[in-house]
Amino acid sequence: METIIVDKNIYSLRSIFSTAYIFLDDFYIFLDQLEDNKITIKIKSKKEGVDLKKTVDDFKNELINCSLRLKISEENRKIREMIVSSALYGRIEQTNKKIINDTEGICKTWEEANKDIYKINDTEGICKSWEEIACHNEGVHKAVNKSCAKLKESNYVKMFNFKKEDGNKSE
Amino acid sequence: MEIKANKNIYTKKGIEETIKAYEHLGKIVLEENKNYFIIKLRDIDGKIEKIFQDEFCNYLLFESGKCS
Repeated sequence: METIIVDKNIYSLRSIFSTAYIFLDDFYIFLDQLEDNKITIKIKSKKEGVDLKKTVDDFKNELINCSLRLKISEENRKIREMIVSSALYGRIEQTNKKIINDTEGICKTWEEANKDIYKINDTEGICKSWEEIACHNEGVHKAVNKSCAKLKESNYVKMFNFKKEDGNKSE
Repeated sequence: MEIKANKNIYTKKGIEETIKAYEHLGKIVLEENKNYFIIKLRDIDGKIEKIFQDEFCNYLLFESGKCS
């Protein structure tokens, strides 16, 4: 059995527990606290013929590793919580967009922010579709019939009709 | 056979959970003083007597870490 004495002011109890968990499969570990804030870690191998000195060194290294990991995790706790909460509540925020006091327009999409770019000064109605011009709240069929009637009356169509009639006469 | 578990390290809940898990293997009595929980192990099967205490301590460490 080997014993390690660790200062509680340097390594937290949580990091000692985390390190001990890693070694639990192959070793028996027992902790105790001395009066001067120091913790004794007793390590005993489950198998025979194991180099315990190497294990002690590994344990010490792993202890540094765990305490550093816990320290970083504690430092980044707020950021981590923010990322998780924004990921979880992202959809809800999108639906309640009006509730957010977005004075600088950060939540707007590019299209929303630049609506004016799409407003083209189309005085001659070039951008309008045929349906938009001809239908005027009527059905498409009515609009087509009207435009056909107009065509029949036009000189262009009459010219063809005349030619046709003329052709028939010649036959 | 007894185990002295420091109150600053091991939790009572952890000890109780461990006793629950091992009580079928023998008689386990929990006592406490100012600084320690004293766990007395009695009538343990001779075949497992050697490893019982060590395995109990490992399980205790695991449970106390979970509870703390």
